[in-house]
Amino acid sequence: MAVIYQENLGLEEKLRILSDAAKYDAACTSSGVDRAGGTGLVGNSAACGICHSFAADGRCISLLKILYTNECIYDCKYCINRSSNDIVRTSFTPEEVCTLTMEFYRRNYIEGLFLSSGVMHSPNATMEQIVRTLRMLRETCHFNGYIHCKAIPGAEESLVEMAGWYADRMSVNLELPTAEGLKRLAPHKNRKNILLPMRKIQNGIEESRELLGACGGMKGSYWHTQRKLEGKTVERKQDEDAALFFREREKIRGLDRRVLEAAGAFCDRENRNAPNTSLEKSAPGGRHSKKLAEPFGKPGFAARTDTILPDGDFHRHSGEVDTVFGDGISGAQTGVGLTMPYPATARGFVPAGQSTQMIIGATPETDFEVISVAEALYKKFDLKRVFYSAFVRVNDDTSLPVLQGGPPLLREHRMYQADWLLRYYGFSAGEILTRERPNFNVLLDPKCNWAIGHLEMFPVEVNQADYFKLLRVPGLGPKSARRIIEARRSAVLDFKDLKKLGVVLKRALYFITCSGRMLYSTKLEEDYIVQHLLDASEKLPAHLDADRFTYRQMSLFDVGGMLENG
Amino acid sequence: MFLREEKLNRIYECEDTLEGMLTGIYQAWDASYGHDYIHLTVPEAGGSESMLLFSEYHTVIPDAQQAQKVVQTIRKKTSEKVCEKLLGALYSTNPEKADAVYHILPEAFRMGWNVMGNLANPYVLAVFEMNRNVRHEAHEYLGFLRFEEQQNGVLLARFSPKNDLLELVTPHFADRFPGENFVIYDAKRKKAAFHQQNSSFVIRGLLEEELKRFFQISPKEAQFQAMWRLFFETISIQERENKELQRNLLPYHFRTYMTEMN
Repeated sequence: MAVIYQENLGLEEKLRILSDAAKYDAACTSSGVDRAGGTGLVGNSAACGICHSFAADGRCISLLKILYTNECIYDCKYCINRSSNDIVRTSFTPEEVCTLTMEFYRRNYIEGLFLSSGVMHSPNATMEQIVRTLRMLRETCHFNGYIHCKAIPGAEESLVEMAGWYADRMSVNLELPTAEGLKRLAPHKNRKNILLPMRKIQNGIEESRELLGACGGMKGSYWHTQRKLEGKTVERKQDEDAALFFREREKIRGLDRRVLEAAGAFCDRENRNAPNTSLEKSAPGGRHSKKLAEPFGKPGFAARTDTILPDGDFHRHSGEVDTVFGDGISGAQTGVGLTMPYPATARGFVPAGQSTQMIIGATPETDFEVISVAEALYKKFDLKRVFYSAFVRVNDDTSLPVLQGGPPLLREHRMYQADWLLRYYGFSAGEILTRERPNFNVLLDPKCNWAIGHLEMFPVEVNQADYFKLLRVPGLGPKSARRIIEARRSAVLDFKDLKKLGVVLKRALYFITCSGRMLYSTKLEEDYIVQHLLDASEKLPAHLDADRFTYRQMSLFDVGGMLENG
Repeated sequence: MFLREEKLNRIYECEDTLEGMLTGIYQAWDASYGHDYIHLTVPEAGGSESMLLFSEYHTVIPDAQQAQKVVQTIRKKTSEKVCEKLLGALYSTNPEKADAVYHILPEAFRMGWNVMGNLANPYVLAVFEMNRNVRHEAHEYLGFLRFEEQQNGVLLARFSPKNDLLELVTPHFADRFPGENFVIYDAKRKKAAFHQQNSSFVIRGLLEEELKRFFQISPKEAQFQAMWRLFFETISIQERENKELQRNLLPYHFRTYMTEMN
């Protein structure tokens, strides 16, 4: 192992090395939090997210995506920074990261910072550097824009928590969809160490949301879609969550380790946290406890010390916190409550929620396994986003697959399509794929695939069907479904109106009626519809639209076979 | 059969400003001439320059009070959201914008807050699409605009948007950079927004020559531009390179003033 450590590289050279090393992380969204600017501050944030540029690979550039260091004690086989790789190693200083972020930000190159890191010396030492950087950015530079940072698995809880008060979004990468895959390719990591900080952040967000209300952050799209499916108001579902959370909190904290160790617990079918409506009234927190949050907003509280604490001492100093969250609320306190950093902020704890990433195609999981894991993450860890990253073979290692045709981009694309079905369309993983048919159809997108397997649900009458029925029609999405519902209040809709509302008729026409009529006299038969849908061909993003997939030459017989086998 | 005497069409020519068009709408409405015979054009936005037969032309002189009344009425009879959409449409580059907003009003006053849902109505659809186009382009520029630091510390951004976006994007940057002196220059319309440190901003006409006379890039600027270009190059994954996708998401017309594209 030859580590060339370069202490005295120029800033430009460091930027080249440490952005090159960071680029395989897929997440680059700046979304999830609305925050206005203010006098004396630099920056604001828009919940919808803003793309600042698009790189030559067509991926959005929104954040300054860099590693703090590419030094790493781990030897994960898929990673460019694995300790056994013979590459130039370097680290930023907190000052350098701040300079780059602030100067890039004021030229409007970026929406904020995405700080990840290799593990230098130990998880704690690394996390400490991340926290020092974030703290300097927020308190010395008064940066008020977006910050996404990684929680390093294995780092002390108080450090992860401190980072959470400075960051907008945090993420812990799951890396590989299953524990076995992780063991094989990342021998120094384990599933438990990844899931624990994830749970810790989730609990923190929940507590912060209870105390700070909207300031504590918004719920994700998966939560809202489930809420709408259950027909509940935001308040009601939040109260239910709060009741569950506060009753379960100690249990969750105590049980976490054991629960997570039981391998089955992660993917199990029955929902341990099934909402229990009788709990809603007994919520000890809820909006009633918001007044507890007021002291933090008071101006006197903002007396600040801008000095960064000396090296190595940082996490022990989190004892300088003034207030312990949670104590006054739950009464009996067993676990570690959320602690507010000094000085207090009004940003809330990880207000844009947390996300994670899985590498697709490095290990032999089926698509069904992957989306089941994603669903579990949304359901049980309340994640905002799960990112899927097509495996790029950057290291020559015998345990890594050699994939013909480069990174599995179509598979990644199907994964995102399925992810959208989970988060916005109210589908469950078991509806999209099954154990018997565990992989995505190459030729049809997951929603069309579902529709032709469930023809008994069609045709859907556009002038009557409810929102979620409409959503299940291929060619309709959340926007067009909402527009249909609005437009039909004042008029009876016909096919020509649907076109104006943004419906993709060439796909929808097989599945809908307007006032009882279909557009053409089409047959509601699987083979017939598949044939026609393939003729109309899906509009794939440019990188997938090559002749690599020959839709048209495929005979009906082949297509039928493909569908059978998935 | 008697020959029915044709009523003349009445055409209001408005200035291409919010105030000008809203004044036009006020005067056209106030005339009670019959909606079918009224058209509003915006010559500066490329509205029909050739005169039409059987039409009488009115040149509208902008009037702040009349414009204000129109906004208040729309807001009162519909909703804040609808009002925002109608005003958004007026920033469009489409010369029919004032006409569409005028003719949507009877429907808007009848249906109230709900009017924009009625996309089956041609005027509603037109306004909907113009507003969407404007908002979409404005959102893109929130990301694609690039500031360059000048010797006097002022940040200067240039762009030439299809729609008239200066008033829509400047508030975002004023909120984002309250402590900066910055200028956003619309090269197509020869005007600029001037934001003063910890203060508000004004918009006024500015010629390219004036711009060049006042502004010179700071020495530090080249260094950060180089680093940004470097980052832009290295962040792309070679195995996934796809210029076509890049072009779909970042069309060429946005790239003129983008640091990393030049």
